[in-house]
Amino acid sequence: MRRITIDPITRLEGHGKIEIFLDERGNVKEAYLQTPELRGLGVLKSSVSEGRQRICRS
Amino acid sequence: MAKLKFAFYWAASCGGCEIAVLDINEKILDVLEIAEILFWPVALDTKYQDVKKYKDNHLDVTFFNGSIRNSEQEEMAHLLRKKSKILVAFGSCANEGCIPGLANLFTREAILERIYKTTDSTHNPEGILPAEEWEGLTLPKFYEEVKPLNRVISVDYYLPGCPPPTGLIISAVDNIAKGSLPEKGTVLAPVKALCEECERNTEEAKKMTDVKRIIETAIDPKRCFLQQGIICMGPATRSGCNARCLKANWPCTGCMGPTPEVEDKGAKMISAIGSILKVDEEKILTEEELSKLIDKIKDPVGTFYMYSLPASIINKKKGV
Repeated sequence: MRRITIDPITRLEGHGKIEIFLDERGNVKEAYLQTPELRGLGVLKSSVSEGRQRICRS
Repeated sequence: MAKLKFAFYWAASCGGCEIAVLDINEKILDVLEIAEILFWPVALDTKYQDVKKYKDNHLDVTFFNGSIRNSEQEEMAHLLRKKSKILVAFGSCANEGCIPGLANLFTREAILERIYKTTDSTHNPEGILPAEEWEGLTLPKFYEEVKPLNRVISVDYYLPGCPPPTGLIISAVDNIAKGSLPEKGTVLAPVKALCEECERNTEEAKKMTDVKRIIETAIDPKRCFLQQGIICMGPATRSGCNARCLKANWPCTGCMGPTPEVEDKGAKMISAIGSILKVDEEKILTEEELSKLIDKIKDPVGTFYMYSLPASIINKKKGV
């Protein structure tokens, strides 16, 4: 089975990787979009965000 | 003269540093006069495999933004270090960990649990968490903590800011072009504290008579924030930002990093607040009154260590 890896995907904001698996005839069998980055900011709940007016500057 | 070879990379960041590069506007054309950009995922289609094929030191300068949150980012840091003659930690995340670093207040397990299972917008009844390996696919290892760049590789220069101010980016590029960079390890920003370039009235003696949040008061654009009861990180933070927040009537939150003599910016700032808050009345205030006053500082870690938690002495949640 052939495998095509596109790493990283580019010209967009953020991190991404694409993996494509082809069958014997060269047709796409499976395709996956992966997001290798997690910053973990979602955990910053009220204990931290209270009093913050802004968390991201961009 | 052959053009210099530049690379830009991002690790755990928000993308604002990439925008800061574009914020140098037409100056980008001067950059392209002296340099070609070989690797810059947001703008160019160069793959990791291409970078791996470069000879060692093939790149003259890599500007690396973002902190180190997972194994892929650490691998890219090592790879780019090997391929670059000069490596610049670009922006607050790479310098000190920045906002993503506040997640160090939580364990890895608590972060994954919250994000993939319990947020209001999550529907994950089977409780599936990302796997590092699955059906031949791999994901990077999500680390226990966020690290600044210099905890995983050696860094030659530091360009602070969230994002770095355009003036400092331009001057860094000019110095690279002229071959007039200072000694390695230098922070490419002025050594003075922001207070010293603040245009607000500093004639009055610095005293805080109360602690207020910015939404609780109308701010006089001519007076020092601290004198108005608003915590401003100016005394412990480097200048070089042209006081951009202060000019917009917003207190300094400390993105430019500490001045050179300060080891721990948050501790320095807490000490500064301690020496000016209700200083005239400290002998007559009861412990209870003092503690009520201190309780008005909402979110002390997020205030004093908003950008520097991973680089600080307290660093991360301990004892779990």
